[in-house]
Amino acid sequence: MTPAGIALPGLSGLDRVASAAGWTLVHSFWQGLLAWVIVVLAGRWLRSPKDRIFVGNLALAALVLVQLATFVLCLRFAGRPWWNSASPSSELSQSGLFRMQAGETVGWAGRLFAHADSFMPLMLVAWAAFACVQIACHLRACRAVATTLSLAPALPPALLARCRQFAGELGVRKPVQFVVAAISDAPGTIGWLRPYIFVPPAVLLTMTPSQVEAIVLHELAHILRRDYAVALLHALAEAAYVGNPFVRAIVRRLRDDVELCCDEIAARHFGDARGYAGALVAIADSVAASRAILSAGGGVLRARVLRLLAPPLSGARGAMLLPKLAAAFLIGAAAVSLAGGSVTRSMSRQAEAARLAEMSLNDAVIWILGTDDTRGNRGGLLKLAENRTGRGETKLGRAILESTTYADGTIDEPTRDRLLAAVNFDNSRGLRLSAESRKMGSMDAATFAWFVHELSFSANGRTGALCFLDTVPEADRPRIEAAIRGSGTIDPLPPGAVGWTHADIVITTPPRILPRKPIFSRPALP
Amino acid sequence: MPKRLRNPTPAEIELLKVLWSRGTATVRDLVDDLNDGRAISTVATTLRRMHAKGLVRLVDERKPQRFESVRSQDETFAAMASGLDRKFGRSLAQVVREFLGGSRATRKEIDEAKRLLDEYGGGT
Repeated sequence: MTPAGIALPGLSGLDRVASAAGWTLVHSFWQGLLAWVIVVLAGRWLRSPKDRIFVGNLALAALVLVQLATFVLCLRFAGRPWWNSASPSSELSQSGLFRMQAGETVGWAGRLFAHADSFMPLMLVAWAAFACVQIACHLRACRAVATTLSLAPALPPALLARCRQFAGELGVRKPVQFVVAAISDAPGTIGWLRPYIFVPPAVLLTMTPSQVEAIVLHELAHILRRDYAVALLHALAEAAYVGNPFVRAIVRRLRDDVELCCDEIAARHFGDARGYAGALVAIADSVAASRAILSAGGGVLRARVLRLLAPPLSGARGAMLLPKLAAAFLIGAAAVSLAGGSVTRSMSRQAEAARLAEMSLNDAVIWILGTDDTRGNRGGLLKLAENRTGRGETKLGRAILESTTYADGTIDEPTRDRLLAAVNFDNSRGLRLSAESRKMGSMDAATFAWFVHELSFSANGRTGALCFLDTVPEADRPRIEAAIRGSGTIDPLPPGAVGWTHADIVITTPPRILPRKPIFSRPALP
Repeated sequence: MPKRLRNPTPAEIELLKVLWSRGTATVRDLVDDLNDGRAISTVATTLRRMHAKGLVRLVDERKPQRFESVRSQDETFAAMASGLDRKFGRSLAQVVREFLGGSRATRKEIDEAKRLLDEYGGGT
């Protein structure tokens, strides 16, 4: 008989196990939160989706291990009397993490805990039943879909031949069946040993053969990466931690990153990133047209398209530090991200100033204005001014005044007004304007405007970085110039750029400012 | 005659595929075509079960008995596909989301993605 007065035949010897399991589930919420925080921090720091997937899966695995340890601990404490033997509550549950010394009276917390503890067996039974039913239904649905697809007609012969050719070229050794089926609105893949890639009839009708091939390549990438097996584990985790929003959030992120990884493989093989991105958008459009659209939420379409059209620099930095991250993630991602940090934090102020002193404003300069550190933004820019004036003056306002005063003494009033207005926004950070009009040199006013413009972005809480591109391909320069004259942002850093950014927004100078030697450089793209 | 046709199991589908390719077949024909070591008795039992489910019918009662599929492959597939959603409901939606790439973008996301494609010179 449980303390709640409910008879559970045959469970008297298992009360402790049930209670320990129940409390383990309760603890899974804060442990899941910790795992989710680590995954989020890693996601902000790691550029490569592969690295993020590694950390995410590691976090889930660690959560399971921590849960097992929690269960063992709960079980160890179970069975030890933790009430004063004279207390009328001495017959209450003897399990739980909280123990009291003999002689202590039971306070309100103890009574509350005891009351909660009494329901643990019931909670465990309910959880087990729900999780088992969900897993069973899930597995049955998978099996039914695969069985149904075994009867689906094959793709048209020409397309089928191309798909088989792709499978061979990608190195997919499993016997993949390419079929036409309207199981869902979009193409997909299912199955482990004998996978099926299916294409809905509507997709065949509305998309070009090239676009269908692109999507099939994406599905083949899933098979190549064995995503189905991992997806099963994720589904089991979701079912086991039913009701735990943090586990769901981690799994959702992992799924998004898996899509990005498959996009990389497929786009590389397809040979036309833009065309592949166009296929993704066409599929999304087709799906959206066929059913009601969700008013909120959605997928990761924008990020996928953006990554294809303007891939970020390689994640070499993340890959190098991944073993350290993997070893340290349990300790706290906050410490890891601080240790990693931006390059500006890793450079001493003296070293930075020394480097700046070697360059003039019109030389190539790559500024890392930082991401979250607006002080770093301002500090970097002010060091630039300091370098030019040579007198240690660090007032941003002075720098603005000076930069809008040209060599012949004329003043660019509109630009000055605009810059001052932008800086005024940041008055809360103690920027003071100076009425002095010391000439600063021949810094291009338009360039300076973009510095300050970016500071405004930072002040608004958006991340930013500024860099001059040393190796921007000629073909990209008109686009960059147009963007600067328009919104003034390039997101993200165009391919081939030598520079570094830890940010989402990059401002580039017009090509007429000739970049030369960068301060910071990254290894070339592979 | 059963009241409604039930969907075949994977093992039954193997037999149906032979029937569809041959048109009609005896138990011996099925065993020979399958050629996977299944005993005649096993195939016969499966065939009897399929007959009870209404998946196959006798076309010649003289020995050896000859069977044919009640529905064509396309009809069977269509029946199974249309029944998936009805039978599994939320579980199927979950399978679609997790395994079949059915995550949906909002209209806003799609428009934003199209804008990006135009900006980068591609277009859809």
